[in-house]
Amino acid sequence: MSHAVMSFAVRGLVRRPLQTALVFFALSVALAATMTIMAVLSGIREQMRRDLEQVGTDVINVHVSPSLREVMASPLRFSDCDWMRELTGGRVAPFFATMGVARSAGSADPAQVLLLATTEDWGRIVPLEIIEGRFFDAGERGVGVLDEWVAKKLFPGTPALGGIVRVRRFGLPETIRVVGVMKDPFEIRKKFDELDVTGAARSRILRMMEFKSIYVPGSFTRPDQVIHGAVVQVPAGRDPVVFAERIRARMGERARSVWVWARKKWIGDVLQAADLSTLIANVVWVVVLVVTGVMIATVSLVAIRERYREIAIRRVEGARRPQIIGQLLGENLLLSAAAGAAALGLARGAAWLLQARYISWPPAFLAGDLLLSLGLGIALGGLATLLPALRAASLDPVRVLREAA
Amino acid sequence: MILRIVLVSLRNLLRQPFRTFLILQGVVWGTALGVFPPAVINGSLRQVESRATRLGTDRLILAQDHVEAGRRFDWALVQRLPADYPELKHAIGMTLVQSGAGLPVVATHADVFRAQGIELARGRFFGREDVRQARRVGVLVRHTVGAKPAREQLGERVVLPEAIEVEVVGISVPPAAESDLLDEMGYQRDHPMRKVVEIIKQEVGVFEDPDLSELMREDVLMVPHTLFPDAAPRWIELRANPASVLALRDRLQNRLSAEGYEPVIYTNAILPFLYGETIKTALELNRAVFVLCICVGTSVVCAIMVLSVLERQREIAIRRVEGARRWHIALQFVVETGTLCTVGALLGVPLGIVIAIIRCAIEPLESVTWTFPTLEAAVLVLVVSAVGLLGGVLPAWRAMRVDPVEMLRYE
Repeated sequence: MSHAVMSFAVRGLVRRPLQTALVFFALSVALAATMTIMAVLSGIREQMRRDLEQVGTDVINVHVSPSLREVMASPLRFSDCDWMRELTGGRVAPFFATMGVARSAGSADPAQVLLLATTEDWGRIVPLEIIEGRFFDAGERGVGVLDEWVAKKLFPGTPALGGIVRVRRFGLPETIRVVGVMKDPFEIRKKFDELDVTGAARSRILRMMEFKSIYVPGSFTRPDQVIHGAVVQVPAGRDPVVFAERIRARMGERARSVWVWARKKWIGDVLQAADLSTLIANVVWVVVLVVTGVMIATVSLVAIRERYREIAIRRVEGARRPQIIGQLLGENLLLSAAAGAAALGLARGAAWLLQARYISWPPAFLAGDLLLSLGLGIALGGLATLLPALRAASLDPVRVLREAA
Repeated sequence: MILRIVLVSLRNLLRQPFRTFLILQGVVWGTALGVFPPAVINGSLRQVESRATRLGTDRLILAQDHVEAGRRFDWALVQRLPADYPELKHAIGMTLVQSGAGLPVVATHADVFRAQGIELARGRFFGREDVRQARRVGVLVRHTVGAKPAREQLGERVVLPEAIEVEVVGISVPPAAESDLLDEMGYQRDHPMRKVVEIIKQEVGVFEDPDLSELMREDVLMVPHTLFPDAAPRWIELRANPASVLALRDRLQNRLSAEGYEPVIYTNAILPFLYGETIKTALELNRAVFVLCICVGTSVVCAIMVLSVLERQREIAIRRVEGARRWHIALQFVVETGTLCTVGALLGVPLGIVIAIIRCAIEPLESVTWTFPTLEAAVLVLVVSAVGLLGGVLPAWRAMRVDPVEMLRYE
């Protein structure tokens, strides 16, 4: 029985090639548009998650507060690193941050950079991939490691390894030989960097997380030497949030002018903020979905209205209502499924085009999103078939045929 | 004859209200989404340029980083900047010599009044001569709303730190409304979305300078900086053409960082959206999406039209038998689709403007506003109508080929 209904459905599609092709075309274009937009939006979030996880989920940042009421000297000293190391049982790298302007022979434009004077432990704590060379070793002088963003600015199109960077800070010139380049954790900014409207308004302490820095070996010798902060890596499997709390407690009075925060928590906060903006962007998607949904419904509706006579004849031939409705729904289902498969291909093509030209993140085709758009498309198409099919099947065939004649 | 065909087409549209509505709303949305971005961008651009001083879009505020910097700002630096950067209209240094419970007192240049667009209500401003001679005068600059300043009056004498007594020689006009108060990045201080802005700013690592925001919110007594020769400027306020502010910001930050000043620079948050390069990519993306929408819309409209022609073959055959020529019928379809698309496009323009108005209302950046994008809207209506006409050609071509006898015999 169901076999007979399906074979009728297939025959119905094959016998009317033009109609079938048109509905197929309209459905696949509409579904492809929805899928592409969903993939682009999901892609942003996926890329952000991947980007952020690279900055180190087991790292704690300790630094002087950027929002003090008065300009003041850092309350942190090099000797603080000792008790932090003891308390956490992990690695600690102190740092001293200054802004500077870097130039190289390869590029006419200078790049503003954050110079982080630190120790070789930094390279072991921050899990960023080294894409050229290595991190500097203990005791090296006059060398530096660049963030990929800086390397691209100063050495466009050429490898930075072995290159010479001239930096001015405190009004004094310095020369740095590049021994390594660290991968930019933020893929997403490759095309939209400029829209970070707040870069210049950030305190340099927080610009550390921009990853536009040059890491140079610092000289930390005296225990009472002023540092701007430290990065702390907790041992594997331990919760950095708990340790951050302990470090803060140990700071005592100083905790008011020092920030202690686990990068893991920050990643969570940023992703939450990103979710909010994705939600807002989703409003656009909902509009597109509604419009395409209405389009799909219209096409299905128009396609069925021309078939009242055919349905009446089938009724006269002895077909029952459920059989007719089953046939029409079967046709729609087959068409939607085929259109969905074609839409997947089309959407991938469109996403590839968008990625090549406009966006710096790969669109993410998540199974859930695809199922949702396919499901909605099929459901809407089905509904738009079912209602007129019910009506068509319930019409008196004699009347339909008489009117048509 | 043509008129009759047009009337028949229009009657056809009315006879099938559901189908007409469906196609129409698709076209309306497509057009609205195209009108909305230029409405907001053009409007904001005009607003930013015409009211630069009041909106602060021509302003750069250099603040000292709160973490110890290699060098502190000095008055000589403030004087040097306009000579080094000819595009600067004004450069003024400011420092807070008294804050907290009392009236905040700012030591500054005589240029401050012109630079900040301050209007005088009573008395006079202090001039360059007053500054040069370190005269003991002060001007009360109103940032609070209300007819009378809460504190000092004209002619009153105020005792400042170091036992310096100054006379209030002028009082400025208060802002018209609370919403006129903007922060250092151009956001309204009392906007319903203010809290969200605050959270986002902190999340990305931007902190207001608490003293600076106090100065921008409360009544302030401005006095010549020469009265306090030992107080270094804490903020440097610069004014330039809005279009050159971003480039200036980068050059200043490079140069000052190299010299060891390490400033934090606040500029109006809208500028990168109006003058940045990235926004062109974003707009191009927007256009690509719009073209995609049009493609989807027209393919679906075409499909619907062709399907409806199939549905209406009998009607066409009968009209042919009645004596209608092929081109009559073709014209009928072109008119039908053309009308749908033109009406849809025309209705889409006001919908786009409504979306723009809603977008501006929820935006706490005072510089964001909308205008009617005449050129863009006209182009859009033309393009959508043209696409609609093209979409009508296909079913028309098919309709022309229907042989009425075949059709009716088959029926």
